[in-house]
Amino acid sequence: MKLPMRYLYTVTVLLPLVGCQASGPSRSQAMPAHSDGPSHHRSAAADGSIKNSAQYLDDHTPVASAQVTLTVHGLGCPLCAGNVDKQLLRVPGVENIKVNLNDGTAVLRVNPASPPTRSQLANAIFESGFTLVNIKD
Amino acid sequence: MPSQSLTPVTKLGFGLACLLALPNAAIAQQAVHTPSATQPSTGTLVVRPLVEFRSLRNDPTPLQRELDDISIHTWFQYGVTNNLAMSIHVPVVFRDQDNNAAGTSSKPSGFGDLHVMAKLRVYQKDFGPIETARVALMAGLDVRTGSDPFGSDSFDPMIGTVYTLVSGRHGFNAAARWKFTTGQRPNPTRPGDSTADLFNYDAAYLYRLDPAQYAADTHGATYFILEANGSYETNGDNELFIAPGIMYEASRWAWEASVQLPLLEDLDHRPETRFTVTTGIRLLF
Repeated sequence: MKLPMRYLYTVTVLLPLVGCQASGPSRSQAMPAHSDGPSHHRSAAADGSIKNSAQYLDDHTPVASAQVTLTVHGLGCPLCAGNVDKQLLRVPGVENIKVNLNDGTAVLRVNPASPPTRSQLANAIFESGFTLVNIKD
Repeated sequence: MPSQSLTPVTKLGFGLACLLALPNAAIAQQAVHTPSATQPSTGTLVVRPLVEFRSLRNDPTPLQRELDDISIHTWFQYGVTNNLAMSIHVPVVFRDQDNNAAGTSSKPSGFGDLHVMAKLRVYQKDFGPIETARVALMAGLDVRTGSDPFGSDSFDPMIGTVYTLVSGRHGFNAAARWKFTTGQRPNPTRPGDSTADLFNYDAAYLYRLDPAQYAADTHGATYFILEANGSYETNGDNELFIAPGIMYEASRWAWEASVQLPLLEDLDHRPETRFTVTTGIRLLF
C-alpha cells in the first residue's frame, strides 16, 4: 500500500496550520479578559471580584491579605496542577499552595510581611502554561 | 558509542538507576505511546523511564528471526519557555535473538540512537478549570549514537503535529509524525529501521476512572487509556496496534502501563510484533 506523498505532506505539515488560526498564546492571550470569555468567566465577573485578567501582569501592587485565591483554567489533571505548584512556590512570599481541580482554584498562603505582587502571581501562572482568570485577595 | 555487551548485573543496575535515580514525571493527559500537546512549565524537568518487552515473530526475510527485546527508554523533557519544550530520548535494548535459517542465536545489547526533539505549542484554548484544547508542532532528530545493531549510523529528522483535548473526565490526543530516514540499521526490526521514510499516526482516548469528580482533597487520579498506534513506511510496510492501558497520576509523579496488540500487520522487511508490554513512571522536578 502506497500513500501519495502529497497526502502525507498535507497531513504532517498543512493540517496543523489549519488548526492554528490562533498563534501561540501571548501573555495577553493567556490571560483573557473575562468580558468575552466563556460563561463561567461571566458568572464570576458578576460578583464584581474580577478585573481584566491581562491587567494583572502590570499590577505591581502587593496582594492585600495573607490568603489569596487564584482561579486558573486549563489544568486538566493532577500532574498539570503540579506545574502550577512549582511556579507559584518560586514566587517570593508564597508559603503554601492548595490546588482544587474541581473549581480550578489555587489557594495561596503568603507571608504578610513580604507579600507577592499580583504581577508576580500572574507571571507564575503564565509560565506554567495555563490561563489565569482572576486573583481574589 | 561503541558496541558493548552488558552483564546481567549491569542491566539490573541500569534499570534500577532509571527507576530510582530519575525522579519525576509529567506531561499530563499523555497516553503511553501517543504524544500529547502538553509540556512541562518553564524551568521544569520531567523524567520518564519506561521498561518495554516486545516479542517479534513471523520474519518474512531470509533470516527468519525470532526476537524478544527488553528495552529501557528514558525521556528527559525540559520546559524552556511556557510554550516550548526540549526533550532527549535515550533507548537501551537487550535482545534475545534466534536466527532460524542459520540455526544460530545471539543476545546483543546496547544503546539505540538518541532522539532529540523540540515541541512548540502553537494553539491553546483553556475553556474551563480542567478543560483545554491545544496544538503543538514537533521537530526532532535521531542522532547517530547507537551501537550495532541498534544504531542507524545516520541522522534522521522528524516533523509532526499533535492535538490534545481535555474536557471533564475525557481526554483525547491525536498525532501525526513523519521521519525522513537517511540511513539504515542492519536487518530492520522496527518501523523506521530501513531506508524507507516512516509515517506514524496515533490517537489516544483517556477516561478518568477515579475520582468521578475532583474535590479539594483530591491528590491523584486513575485513568483508563485506549490507544491506536499506526505506522506506514514508504517501502510498503504497514502496521496498526491497539493498546489498552492504565495510568495513575499524582501531582509530582505518575505510573503507567500498557499492552500493545496488533490489529494489522502487512510487513515485508521485518518481523511482526506479537505484543508489547510497557510500564514506567513519570517524575516532575
